[in-house]
Amino acid sequence: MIPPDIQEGLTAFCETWNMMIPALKENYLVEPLLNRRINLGCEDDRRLLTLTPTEAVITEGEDPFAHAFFATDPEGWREMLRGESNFLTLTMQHRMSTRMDEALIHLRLSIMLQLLSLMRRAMAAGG
Amino acid sequence: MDMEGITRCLAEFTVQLQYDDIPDHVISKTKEQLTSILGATLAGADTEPGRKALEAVRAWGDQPEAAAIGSDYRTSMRGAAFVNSISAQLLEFEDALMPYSHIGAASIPAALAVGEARKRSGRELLVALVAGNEIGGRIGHAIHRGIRMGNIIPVYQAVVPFVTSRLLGYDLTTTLDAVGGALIQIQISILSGWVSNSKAYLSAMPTLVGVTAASVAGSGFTGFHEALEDPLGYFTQTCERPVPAEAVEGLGEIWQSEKLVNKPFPVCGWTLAPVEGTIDLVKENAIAPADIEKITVKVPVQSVMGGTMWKAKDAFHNLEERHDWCYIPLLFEMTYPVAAAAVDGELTPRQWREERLFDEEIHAVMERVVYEPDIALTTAYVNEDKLGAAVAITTRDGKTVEKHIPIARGSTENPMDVEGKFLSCARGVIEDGKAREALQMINGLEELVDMGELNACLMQG
Repeated sequence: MIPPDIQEGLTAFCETWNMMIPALKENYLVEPLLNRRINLGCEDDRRLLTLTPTEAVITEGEDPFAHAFFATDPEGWREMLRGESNFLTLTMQHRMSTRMDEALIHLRLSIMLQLLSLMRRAMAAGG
Repeated sequence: MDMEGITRCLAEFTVQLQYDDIPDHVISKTKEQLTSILGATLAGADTEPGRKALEAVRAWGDQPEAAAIGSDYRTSMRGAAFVNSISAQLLEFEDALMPYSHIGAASIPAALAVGEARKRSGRELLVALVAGNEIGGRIGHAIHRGIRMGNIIPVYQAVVPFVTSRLLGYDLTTTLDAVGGALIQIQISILSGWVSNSKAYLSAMPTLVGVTAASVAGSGFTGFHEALEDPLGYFTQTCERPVPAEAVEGLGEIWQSEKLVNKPFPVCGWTLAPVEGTIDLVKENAIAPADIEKITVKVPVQSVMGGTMWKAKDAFHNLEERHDWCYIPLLFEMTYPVAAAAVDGELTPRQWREERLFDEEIHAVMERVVYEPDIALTTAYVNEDKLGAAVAITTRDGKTVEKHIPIARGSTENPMDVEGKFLSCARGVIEDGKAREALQMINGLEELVDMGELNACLMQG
C-alpha cells in the first residue's frame, strides 16, 4: 500500500502537470516524458503513471509494456514530492537504480516531480 | 535531419578564422575569460590536490616544453595542458558559456601549453580560444537534451582538438585527423565520482587526450573525419536526443562568446547570486554571524534541482569517514557556501580549506539557511538565461534586510572585476610583480610575439 501522503503527493503532481503542461510540453525537460507509461514502485506497491501532452493519470497496478520502471523507497518518494531530492540525489545514495535504456525517463520524471513540487510551493507563497 | 559535414564545417571554421573576422567585444570577452581562468588555475594549483597533481606530473620527467602554472617547472606540452586543466577545474571557479557549456578549463590550458611549446603569438592564442568558444558553445547546445546536464555535458573533448590544431598550424585534413583521433573513444563522467579529487579529470582527461591526438595527427596519423555526426559518433554517444544541426548554426555570424560568464566565487553557477547577495548584505549592514536568525534565499527552481544533488550533512559526514571524499560536492550544495559567505564576508578558495570547512560558526549558520523556489526568477532563467537570486537575512532582533540580484556577477549585464580575481588568486602563489606583468600582457595580447613570456609570468621563481 502506498502511504497516503505519497498518494496525495502524486495526485498533486498530476494536478500541477495538467495545469502547467500546455506551457511546458515543448520544453526539453518534459518532451521525453510525453506519451509515456511508467510503472511506479514504492516497496511492493505498484501504480501506472500515464503522461500525455494534455494530462497525467495514475491508475492501480502496472503495465508489462510500460516504457520504464521508476522506484525508490517511501522516504525517497517523499523527498522528491517535497522538492528536496531528484534522481541524481537518490541514485548517488544508492536508493534508486537505473539502466541506460530507461535513464532519460528516470531523470526527467524525477526532475518534474521535484520541479512541479517547488513550483506549487512558490505559487502558494505568491511568487 | 541533415547531419552531413558537421565535423568538416567546424574544422574549416577553425582553420579559416582570422583575428580581423572577430568583433572587438568578442576579443574583450575572451581576454576576460583568459584572465579569469588563469586566476582559477593559480588558485587550483595552490590547493592540496592541486599540489599533489603538480608533483605527480613533475615526476614524469617529461621534456620541458611548457609551464606548469603555479609551479617552478616546465613539462611536456601534453603534461602541462593536463596538469593546468586539473588546477583550472579543482575549485569550480572557471567559466560558463550560457547556458550549456563550460570550455575554458580545457581550452585555455591546452592553448597555453601548445602555444608556448610552438612559440605562438598572443594574437594566435586569441583566435584559437575564440574558435574553441564558438565550437564549444554550439556543441553544448546540440547535446544538452540528454541525461547529462551542466558541467557533465561532455563538451571539453570536442573543443580541445580544434583549439590545439589551430595553434599547431594544421590544415583542414590534419585538423580533421586530430578531431577524429581525439573522439575515437568518447569520455563520459561518473557524476557520483565528483566527490573525489578526480572530478578535475572532467576537463583534464579530455585535454590530455585532445592535445595528444592532435600532436600525433601532425605525423600523418589519420583520424575518422566524420567523428561528430556519424550515426554511431560523438553526438549519438553523448546524448540521447542530440540536435546536431545546432553545432553549426550561425557559425561566424552569431558569436556564442558573447554569452561567456566568469565566476567571481569558487562555487557552482547556481550559487553565485545567492553568495553575492549574502556578502553584500552582511557587509552593507555589518551583520555579525551570531546575530543571524535566518537566511532565506529565493532562487529559480532549477537551482534547487542542482543544489540538492548532494546534501551537506552527507558530505560532511563522508568527508570525515571516507578516504575518497573531499570538499568538491560542497561546491554544488547550497547551504555551506552561503553560510561561509555570511560568516567570513567572502567566498574564496580559503573557504574550501579544512580550517574553514569545519568551522563551528559556519556550521551553526548553515542550519539557518533556507532555500525557496521563486517563479519570477525561474521565468528569468528559462527565458533569458539569467541566474538570479533574492536573499533575505533576518537578525535576532527581528529585523530583515533583503537584496535582489537579478543576474549573477560575472555576466555581461553584471560584470565582475576579473583582474581583481586574478591578482587575488595569484597572491602567495607567484610574485605580485609577475602577476601584474601577466595582466599587462593579456591586455596587450595582440602585441605579444611569444606566448612563452606570458606563461613565464605564471610560474614561481
